[in-house]
Amino acid sequence: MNINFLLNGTLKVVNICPGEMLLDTLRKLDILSVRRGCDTTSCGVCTVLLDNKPIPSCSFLSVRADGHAVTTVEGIPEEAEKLAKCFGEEGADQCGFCNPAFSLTAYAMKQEKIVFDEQTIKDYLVGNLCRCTGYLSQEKALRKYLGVDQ
Amino acid sequence: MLTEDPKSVILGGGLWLRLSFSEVSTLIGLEKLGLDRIEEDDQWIKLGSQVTLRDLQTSTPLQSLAGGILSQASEHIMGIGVRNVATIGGTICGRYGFSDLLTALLALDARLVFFKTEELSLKQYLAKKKPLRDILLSIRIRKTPGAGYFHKISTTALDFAILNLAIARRAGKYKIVVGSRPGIAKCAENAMEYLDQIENPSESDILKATQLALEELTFSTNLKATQEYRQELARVYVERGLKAVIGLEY
Amino acid sequence: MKTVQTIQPSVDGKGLMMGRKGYTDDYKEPGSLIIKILRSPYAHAKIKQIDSSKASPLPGVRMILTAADFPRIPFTRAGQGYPEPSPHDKFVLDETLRYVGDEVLAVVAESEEVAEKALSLIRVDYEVLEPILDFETALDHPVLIHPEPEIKEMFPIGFDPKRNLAASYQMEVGEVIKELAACDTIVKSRFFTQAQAHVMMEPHAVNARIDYQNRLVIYSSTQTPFHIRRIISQALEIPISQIRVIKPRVGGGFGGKQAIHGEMFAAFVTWKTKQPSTLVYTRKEVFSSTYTRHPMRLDLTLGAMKDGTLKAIDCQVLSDTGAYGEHALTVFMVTGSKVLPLYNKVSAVRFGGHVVYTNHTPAGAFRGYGAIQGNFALESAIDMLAKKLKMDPLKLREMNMMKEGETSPIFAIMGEGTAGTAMIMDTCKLEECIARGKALIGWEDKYPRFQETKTTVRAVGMALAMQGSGIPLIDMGSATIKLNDDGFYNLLVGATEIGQGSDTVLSQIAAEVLETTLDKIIIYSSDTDLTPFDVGAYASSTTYVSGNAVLKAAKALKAKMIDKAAQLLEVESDSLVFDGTMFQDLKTGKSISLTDFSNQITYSKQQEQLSATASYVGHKSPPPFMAGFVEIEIDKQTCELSIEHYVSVVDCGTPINLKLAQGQVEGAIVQGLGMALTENVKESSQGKLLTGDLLSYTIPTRKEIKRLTTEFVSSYEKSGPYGAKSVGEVGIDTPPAALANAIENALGVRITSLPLTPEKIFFAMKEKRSNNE
Ligand SMILES: Cc1cc2nc3c(=O)[nH]c(=O)nc-3n(C[C@H](O)[C@H](O)[C@H](O)COP(=O)(O)OP(=O)(O)OC[C@H]3O[C@@H](n4cnc5c(N)ncnc54)[C@H](O)[C@@H]3O)c2cc1C
Ligand code: FES
Ligand code: FES
Repeated sequence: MNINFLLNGTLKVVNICPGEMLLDTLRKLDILSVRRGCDTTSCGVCTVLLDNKPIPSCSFLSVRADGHAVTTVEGIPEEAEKLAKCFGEEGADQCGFCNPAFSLTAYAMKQEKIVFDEQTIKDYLVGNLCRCTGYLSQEKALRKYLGVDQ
Repeated sequence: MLTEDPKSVILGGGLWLRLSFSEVSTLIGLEKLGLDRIEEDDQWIKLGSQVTLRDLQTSTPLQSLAGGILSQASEHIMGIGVRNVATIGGTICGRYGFSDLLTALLALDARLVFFKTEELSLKQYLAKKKPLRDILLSIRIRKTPGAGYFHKISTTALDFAILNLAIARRAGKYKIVVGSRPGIAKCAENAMEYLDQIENPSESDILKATQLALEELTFSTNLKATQEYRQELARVYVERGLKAVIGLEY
Repeated sequence: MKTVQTIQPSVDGKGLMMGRKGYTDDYKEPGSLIIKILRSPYAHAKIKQIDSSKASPLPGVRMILTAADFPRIPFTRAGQGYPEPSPHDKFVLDETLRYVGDEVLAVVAESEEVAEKALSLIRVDYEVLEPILDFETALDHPVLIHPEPEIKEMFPIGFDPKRNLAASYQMEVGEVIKELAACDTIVKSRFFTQAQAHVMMEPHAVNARIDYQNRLVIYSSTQTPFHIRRIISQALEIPISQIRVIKPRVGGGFGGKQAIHGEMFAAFVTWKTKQPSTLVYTRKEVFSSTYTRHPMRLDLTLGAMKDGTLKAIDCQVLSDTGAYGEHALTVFMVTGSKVLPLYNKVSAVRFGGHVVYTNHTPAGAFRGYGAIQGNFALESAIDMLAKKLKMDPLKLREMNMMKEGETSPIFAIMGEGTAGTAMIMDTCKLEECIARGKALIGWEDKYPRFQETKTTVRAVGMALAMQGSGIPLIDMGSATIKLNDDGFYNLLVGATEIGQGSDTVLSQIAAEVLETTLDKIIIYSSDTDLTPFDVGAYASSTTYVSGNAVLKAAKALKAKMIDKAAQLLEVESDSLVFDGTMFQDLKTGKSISLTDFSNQITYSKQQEQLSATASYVGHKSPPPFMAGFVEIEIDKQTCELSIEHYVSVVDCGTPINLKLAQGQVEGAIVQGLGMALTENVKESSQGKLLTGDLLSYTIPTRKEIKRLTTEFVSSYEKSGPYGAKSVGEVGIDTPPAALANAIENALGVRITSLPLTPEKIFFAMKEKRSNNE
C-alpha cells in the first residue's frame, strides 16, 4: 500500500507493507540516524518526531504516518549542531548511539511551553536511555542548549 | 466489522499490540472519529478513548481533579514517546494487571461509554470475564472535588509497578485501589465502607481500615517481588495514602 | 600549543549527533543475505534430528547451516591475544547445546520475512539432558557439560572438563592460617555477586561482502578487530591474508563486544556464497546469547589486631563461566590481583578457587572484569571489620591501604593467565582521594547516619578501588602517523574507539607532541588492512598502552620532520626548532613554515612521504585508584532506597581530557549502581532467561541519577603519556560495596549478596527484629 507523508519537509510517497513499522520504512529511505536499540519500546533510540512530538518509531505503524509530518535529526541540522556543541563542551557524547534521538527529543522539548527545571527535563527525557554517560553530563549540556544553565 | 471478523482488532496507540503481536486480519483505526479530546462541563470531564497518556499528564482539569492522581499516574509511565502514543482506550481495553492508570481511574470511579454496550462503570467492566468486542468511545469522570493520593513503587522509573495504589476522598466517600498485586487493580471495598461511615477518621480508624484492606486484597509473588513484600508495601502505603487524603501527618 | 589536559570536544560527537552514517548496520550492502539463528530452547540438550524439509523449499531460502557444514575446530570466542588464556571449547555449531540461546543452526535467506518464516518451519528433535543450573553444585557433578575429546587449553590454566572445571588457581604469600590464628579479630563472610548484562545501546551487528580483489571484508561492531580476523581464519580455515575486518563506529561495548559473536556466520556465508550477508542481533539475542558478567561466590576472611592492623586476607572464589569458558581464568585472576593489593601491608594473603561450567548464558569480559566482584567482598568485609573493632572505617583503611612508593607481592605472582609483573606504585593518591571525598560528601557530619524522620533515614558509605592499565608484556598497541601536504596529519591506530573517546584522546596526544591543533590530526580506527596492530579496547589499555604508542610515533615523526627540514634549509638539525607551524634555525635564522615545508616535500623538493610507526608494550600496569562515597536515603518501613549523591575522587594520573575522563567515571558509576541495585539476570528453574528484554532487565534511568560529583586528584604517572593512567574501568568497582556499607550504616543490617534490593533489606530487617525479640 502507498502512504504519503512529509519527511523533513519533503513530501514522500512510499510503498509499505501493512504491518511495517516506521523505523523500518525510514531506514529503507536511507534515514540512517534512526536506529533500533530494543524490541520493546523501552530504549528511545528510535525516537522521531511526528507532527513535532517524539514517538518511538520502532513501534509505530508506518500507515499511521500517512498524512503527517515526520522529522528526523537530518531535518534539524542547525539545532543538532547547537546541541552537539553543548555536548562537546560537557563531554556528554560517548558512543553516540543515543544522540540523534536525544537531540530530537530535546528539540521537541525546547518548543513546548514548559518550565525547564530538573524535574521536567528528567521527565521529558526519561525514555531516552543511555548506557555510557551516566546522564548528568547530557542534562548539563541540554540546559546550556535550552539557555537555562545556572 | 469488529463484530463480524474475530481477527479484527481496534488500534489505540498500538504499542501493546506490537508487543503481543498475534495474527490480526484488520486493524481498525479510530483516528478520524475525533476521540482525541478532553472536554468538560459543570459535572463531568469527558475523555475520548484516543486521548494519550501525555494528554492526561498535562491536562489542567485533570491535574486538579482529586489531587491530580490521573495525571500523576500517567506521568510515571515510560518516557515521553510512549506517552505520546499510548491511549487511555488501549489501557482500559487491554486490562493490564500492572496498569497504573486503571488504578487511578478506579479511584475516580470512571464510567465507560461504548459504541454498542450500555454505559457502565470501569469496575463493572473489569469484573467481566472477557473484554467486550465493542468500541470504547469515551470515559466520563465526575468532577466531584476532593483529595487524592497516588503512588507507584517500581525498580526504576521505566519499570512496571511492583505495586501501585490510588486513594481518593471525594464528598466524604473513600476509594482505596491497589493494583499490580500483580493482579489487576481492585478496590478495597470493606475498608472503603468502613471509612465512609466515619466523619473524621482518627489514626486508629486508619489503621483499622488498612487492616481491612489487607485482609480483603490478595497478593502474590512474581519476578518483581514476593507476596509478603507486596503486602507490606500495601500496608505502609494505604496507611500513608489515607493519612494524606485525610490530612494527617505520617 | 596545549591540547592535552584541556577541555576538548570529542572529534566525532558532532557528526554522530547530526545523524551521520557510522555504525555497522549503516554499512550493510543492499540486497545482503539475511542470517538468522535458531537457538536452543533447552539449557542442555542434544540435537537428535533436524527436519528442514518444509523450510528449504521456501522461495528465498538460500542455506540452512548445521554443525556438519563447519570444520570441527575448537576455538574460543573470547577475543584475546594468542595463545589465549581461555580454553578452546567452542565449535561454530555443535550437536550438543549447552544453554538456552545456544546456536542450533543458521538460516540464510533473501529477506527477513523469509528467514523468520523458515525458522518457524524447521522442526528439531531434541534429547533433553539434565542441566546444571546451580553453580555451587557444578564441580564434580555427574552431568558433564564438556565431554568432547577435541577441546583443550592452550597452556596450563587449571582446565579439567571432566570435573566441569574451566579453570582453577591457588596462590599464597606467607601463611594465612597461622596469621589468622594469631589475630585478635576475625571477620569471615560469604558474598554473592550476580550476572549482569552489558546493555550497550547498539546490539551486536556484523555484515560481510567480497571485494573486487576477492577478499572477505567484514564490518563488525567489535572491540577487537585484529583478534576477530585471527579467530575467523583459524576456525573457518580461511587464509588470514584474505580477511579484512573494519570496525566502524561502535555503539558501546563495555567488554560485551570483545568476544566474537555473529562474525563467524557472516564470514562463512559470504565466503561460501560470495554474496554480501548481514546479521544483527535482536535485543533478546543480546541478552540470551552473548555474555554476562561472571556470577561469583566469594568467601572472604580478614584477620586483624585490636589496634586495626590488618594481618591476613583469605579469598576463596567460585566463579560461574556458564556454558563456555571465555575469560574464565582471567576474570577470576583479576578478582584477586586488582583487589587484594589495596591492603598491601598484610603478612599473609591467600587467593584461589575454581571457575566452573554450568548451563547458563556464558560469562565473558565486562567492564570491571572480576574487580567489581572482589571489591564488593573485600570492601564490605573491611567495613564489617571496622564495626567489630569499633573503628572509623576510613581510619581502618588509611592505616592499612597501599601508599605511594609501595608495592604488593601479588603483582609479581598473579598475572592474567601467566605470572604477573612486579611493580612499585609510582603514583597512588588514595590518601588524597579519601580526604577530598570525605569533604565532598560531608562525612564528618553525616557518618554513619543523619536526618532521621519517622519514616526515613539518610546515611553515607564508601569504598576504595583500584584497577590496572593494560596487561603488562601482553597488550600491544601501535600507531602510524604521517604528514600530508598543507601540514595536516593522518593518525592511524588499531586501538578501537567504542564510545570511550579514545579517538579524541589519542588525537590529543599526537597534537600535543606535534604542537598543533586537534583539527589538524585526522584519526582513523580501526581496520586490519590499514591500521597497525592493536590488541583492541579492553583491560583499560587504550589511553596508557595505545596512548604511549601514539606518543612514540608522533615523537619519531617530529624528529624525522626536523631532520628533513634541516636538509631542505641546509642547516644542522640540532639547532633547528619546530613550534608546530614554523621550523626555525636558531643559528642562521633561516626558517620555513610547516605548510611550505610539507607542500615542497610532497610536490617539488626532495620529495618524500614522512611517516612513523611505533608500538608500545607496557612493562607495568600502573593502577588507577579511587574512593567512592555515597549518600542514600532509605525508607525505614519499605526499605526503598534512593541515591542522593555519589562522590568519586579518582587518581588516574593526569587525565588527557578532563571531560572525557569524567564521562568514563560517571558512566561506570551508573553501571556500577545498576549492578548494586537493580540489574539481575534471572532464569526459570529450567534455565530459561526471564530477563531477556529491557522491560524485565532494568538499568538505571536518568530519574534515579540525581547528583554525581567527580573529581581527579593531582597525580602524574611518569610512565604514562603526559602523566596519564587508565580511567575506563575503575569507576564501576565501588558502588556495590559503598552502598552495602551505607545500608548497614543506615539500618544496621549487612547485605552480602547483590543486587541490594529493597526487598532483601526488608527481610534482613525483619530477621533482625525477630532476633532482637
Ligand atoms: C514499553 C511499555 C511499558 C509500559 N509501562 C506501563 C506502566 O509502567 N504502567 C502502565 O500503567 N502502563 C504501561 N504501559 C501500558 C501503556 O500505558 C498502555 O496502556 C498500553 O500501551 C496500551 O495502550 P495503546 O494505546 O498502545 O493500546 P493498543 O496496543 O493500541 O491496544 C491495546 C488493546 O486495546 C484494544 N483497544 C484499543 N483502543 C480501543 C478502543 N477504543 N475500543 C476498544 N478496544 C480498544 C486493542 O484492540 C488492544 O487489544 C506500557 C506500555 C509499553 C509499550
Ligand atoms: S528501538 Fe527501543 S524504543 Fe524503539
Ligand atoms: S552515548 Fe552511548 S548510549 Fe548514550
